[in-house]
Amino acid sequence: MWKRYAATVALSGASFSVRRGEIHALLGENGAGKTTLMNVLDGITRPDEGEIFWRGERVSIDSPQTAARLGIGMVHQHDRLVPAMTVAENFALALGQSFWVDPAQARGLIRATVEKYGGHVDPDAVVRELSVGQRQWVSLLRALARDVSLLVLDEPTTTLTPQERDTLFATLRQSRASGLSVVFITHKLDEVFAVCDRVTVMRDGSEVATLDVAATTPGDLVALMVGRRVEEGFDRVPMAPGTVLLSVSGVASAGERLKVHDIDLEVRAGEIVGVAGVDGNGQREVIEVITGVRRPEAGHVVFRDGTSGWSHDKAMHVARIPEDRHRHGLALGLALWENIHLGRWKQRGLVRRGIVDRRRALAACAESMKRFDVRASGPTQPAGELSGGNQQKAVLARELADAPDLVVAMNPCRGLDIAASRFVLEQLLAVRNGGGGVLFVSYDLDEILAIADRVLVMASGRIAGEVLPGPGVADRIGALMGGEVVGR
Amino acid sequence: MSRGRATGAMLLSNQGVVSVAVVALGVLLSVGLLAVTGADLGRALPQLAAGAVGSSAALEETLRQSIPIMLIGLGVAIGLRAGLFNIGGEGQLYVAALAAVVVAQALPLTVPLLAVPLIVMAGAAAGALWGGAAGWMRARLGMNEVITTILLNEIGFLLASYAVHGWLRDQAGGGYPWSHKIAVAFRLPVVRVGPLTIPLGVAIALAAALLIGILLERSHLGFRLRTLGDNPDAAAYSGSSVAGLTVLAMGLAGLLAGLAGVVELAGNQERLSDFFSPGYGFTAIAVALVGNARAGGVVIAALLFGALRAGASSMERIAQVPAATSLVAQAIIILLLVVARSDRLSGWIRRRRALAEALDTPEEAE
Amino acid sequence: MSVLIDLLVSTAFLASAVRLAVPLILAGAGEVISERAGVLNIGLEGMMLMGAFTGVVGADLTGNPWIGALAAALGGIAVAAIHGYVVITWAGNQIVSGLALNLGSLGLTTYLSRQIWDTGQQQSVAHFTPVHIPGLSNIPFLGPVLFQQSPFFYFAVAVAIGLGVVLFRSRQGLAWRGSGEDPAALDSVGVSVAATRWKALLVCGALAGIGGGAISLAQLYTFIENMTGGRGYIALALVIVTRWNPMWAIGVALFFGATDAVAVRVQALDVAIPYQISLMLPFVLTLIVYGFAARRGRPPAALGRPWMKS
Repeated sequence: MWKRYAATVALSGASFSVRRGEIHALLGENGAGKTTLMNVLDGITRPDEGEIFWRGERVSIDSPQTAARLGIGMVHQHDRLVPAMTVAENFALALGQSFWVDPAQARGLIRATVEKYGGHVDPDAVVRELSVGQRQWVSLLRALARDVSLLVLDEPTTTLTPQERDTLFATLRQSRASGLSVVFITHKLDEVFAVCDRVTVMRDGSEVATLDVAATTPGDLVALMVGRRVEEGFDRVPMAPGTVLLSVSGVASAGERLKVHDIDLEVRAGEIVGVAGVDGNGQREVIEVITGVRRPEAGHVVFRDGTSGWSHDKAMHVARIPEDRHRHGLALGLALWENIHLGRWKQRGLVRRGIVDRRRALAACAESMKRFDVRASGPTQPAGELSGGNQQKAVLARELADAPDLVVAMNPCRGLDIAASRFVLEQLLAVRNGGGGVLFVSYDLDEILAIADRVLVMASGRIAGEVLPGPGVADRIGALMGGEVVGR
Repeated sequence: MSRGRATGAMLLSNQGVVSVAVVALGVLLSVGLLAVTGADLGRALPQLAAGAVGSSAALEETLRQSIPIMLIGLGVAIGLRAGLFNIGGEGQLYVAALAAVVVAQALPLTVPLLAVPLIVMAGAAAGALWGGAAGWMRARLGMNEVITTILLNEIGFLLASYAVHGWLRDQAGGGYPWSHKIAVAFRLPVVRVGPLTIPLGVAIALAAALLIGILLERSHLGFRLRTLGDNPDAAAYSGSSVAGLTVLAMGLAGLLAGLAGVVELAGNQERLSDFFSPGYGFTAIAVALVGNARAGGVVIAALLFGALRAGASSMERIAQVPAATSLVAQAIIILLLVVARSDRLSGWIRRRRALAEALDTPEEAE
Repeated sequence: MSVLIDLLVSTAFLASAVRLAVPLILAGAGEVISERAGVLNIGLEGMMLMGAFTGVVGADLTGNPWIGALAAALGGIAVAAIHGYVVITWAGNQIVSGLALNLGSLGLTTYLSRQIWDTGQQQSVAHFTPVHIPGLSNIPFLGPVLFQQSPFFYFAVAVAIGLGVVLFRSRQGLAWRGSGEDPAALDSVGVSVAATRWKALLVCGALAGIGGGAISLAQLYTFIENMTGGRGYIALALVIVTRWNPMWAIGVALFFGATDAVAVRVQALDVAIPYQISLMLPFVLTLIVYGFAARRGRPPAALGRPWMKS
């Protein structure tokens, strides 16, 4: 398979095969081409070159409908349900045959599927109001409801608790026994070993190797994924926690799906406070309250200078790395240098009598690009043309350039490859090692355990408990993520 | 995937080239339409050219036609850069001219140095109010400025129409519903350059273009407006007041349209009527789009469309081709421009450019 | 004042309110469908004007008002097809395209009407007269108001209700809503977003065209330059007030039809309200009602966003 986009080659001659009744892992870093390859199989993306054989016959799959006719179903990483419709309407849209929609029939189908595969789904719930995990489950059921013989799951576990994940794995094993083939896209090694029979490793748009899971080791797979063995571990200087930089007390706020309440936390100088939890348990709301995007209904957020609540004059001391760099972090149509000074023109002394000093601003941008390794054709390249990793580095370059003493970061490594993720984590660690404090929210527990000094776990809109990193602590955190609450 | 197609993509990515090509193609298509519907092209076309640039009187008419669309177009450009669509130039122009006439009739001034700035300020303020209102409705009530400015157009026009049919009407106006001419002291002076009589409005419009250019491309406020236009969430996140910038941008757009109204009144027509604007507000949208929302581009596009308007009205007088066809020509030009800047075409252009750059990069340099 | 109150409850006034609401019901219901599918259609005014024009041409040529109505639908569809080509096929800017179509329709209908009928006053063409529904039209008060209307009224009510049922109870309706809420989701279940949007837009064009035809063939019996006079813009705002439900278009359009009728009646009365102020009334009221409604509904999430398959 070949697929080229504007400046990048997403697939360069990738090949792949799956057998009846096996769970086949498709492993690779972000950007390795796993999802693109499966989108081609599902008819969502048209390849530039290449061919597909299905049960030994050459087929051309030009739309998801064709794929469905062949018996191929796909569950996407970000669910493809229409949020404004009910679960039943989403089923009818994808599976209905007649012109008119029969709500009773759709409900019956959902009930039958739930009985067969498990879970708990209300057919009349509006999708917008479901949690991310529930939506993922609805997507899975919808794919299974049409009698597929090959099911493609794209990173299905990122939005599930460990318990939900185990349920999913059990369902998959049970379906495998009845002849279903599953392609399981992931970048997590433990999942490969937990449930998969064979694994194909992808790198830079083509497959590197296909192996029996039983005959391989995690170390081998990592080496195949990144093309070399990566150095493990981070440099951390022992630090004694210092003054309180951020204090959140009694914060409550109603988000779209759940109400966040009784949030108390502190970040001190010289520590990284990790916040673990499954997507959609209130982390976003807490970060939005701290960074001034959302107004709390109760409670206080107090910064080092004693002031309560976010105001933009703190921007030089408090760095914010937003969850969604395309929404809050960058103006993609503007040039890189404009993004690197976004909201800081005056504080950096780049404005004189209302006019921006273009030459100094460009020079400062070039310097930041060097320091934070932002690769672009130059400061005037539009931010939207940069790769995801370089966009995130541009956000870091803006937020960290003025030596802030507090960093509030949410999922700063999302969508980045291993090298870029490591760079981001190193920058956060450097702030801590330099005597600053970091509040670090991530849905990826491994990242948190790699650099955090202590870990708060969020579940159902509150802080379920606090854990210190150490051997065997992941199970404890998993239990808290699943909803177990302990007094602190 | 030849080199030639890649070069074509390079050309298409140059907005100036695109604009010129689109206008040329649009004019050509419109002429074709005229021919199909049976107009006498042999008489009409020379008249179009003669009316635009054929004599010093034609050149003066082109300039006169360019001033209001240049000023309103600059305002539309500010809005576009800030992510707002000011369709309200027409209404803003009418309320500004109305305010200016009211001021001129109420104050018996005789010193131009006092009277002219006063009337200009009154018109600009009225326009800013009319545009700012739409900004406020968007920022505070969540109303789409496209719809509100369209509605405010109708209301502004009807206000002016009501005034000139009623209390402002010049009863000795030969039956026309129009106001008295404003007193001499309120009128804009003209400048003579060789054989040409240049209205002062040209200087005002060019000065406005220079200021708006600096505002948009160089000033701190301009950077914040453009951030708002590109990504309102990022603008708010980086400390800007979205509501404040929205009202400001729409107010500025209204101010410029108001300026257009008062300059047209004090520098050209000298009285208000309900046929005061032959659709300046809508032509200005085409001007801003063709000028790619850049001050310099707006100036050139305004001169171009001014020439088209001047030519079309002379064509109507002499060759009996209705000026309504110039509306069709504008529509065709705008539609072609939308296609030229569409997501699909620009995506294609980006891919071709990337390919061209890859072809130009020697292998060993990678 | 009592003159005014008498006027507002008179059957003649209410009947004219219903008559004036018809174009708004049609254009409004059509725009609801188009916006539900994600296509913003600022060119509604132009589609109505084109429909008003082609309707008169059709009726004039054939002497048959029904062919006129068909021609009106085709006129609206033609303008919608240009919009679709620009914004669906090329993924161009929907607002700008719509604006251009308003300008172009105004210019083209003005130009062509002068070419066809010279500039002299044009005679009435074959047109629609009120249809008295047997039985119902004799009901006191309600009969003359609701059941002595032109066929356009009954058609408009049926279409608005029918589209409501289709939108919420059929797979076509689900596809339209999916295309306006989350086109990627629609695409991933194998429904073509482009085809879905095309269908919605052409339905909208046909209804707007017929709405224009209702003005020219059932109200004024002739074509006058710019005869829609901004009703397309009112219909655009009306869509927001209905919260994107075609059935609500009936009620909201009746309200705006009533304000229009007041404007017409006031001119006939010897009340000291100037002509322009009464013309202004529908626009001012639209602005006010829109202001109250703007934050209450949730527009389709992908409204106005071009969609391109990767």
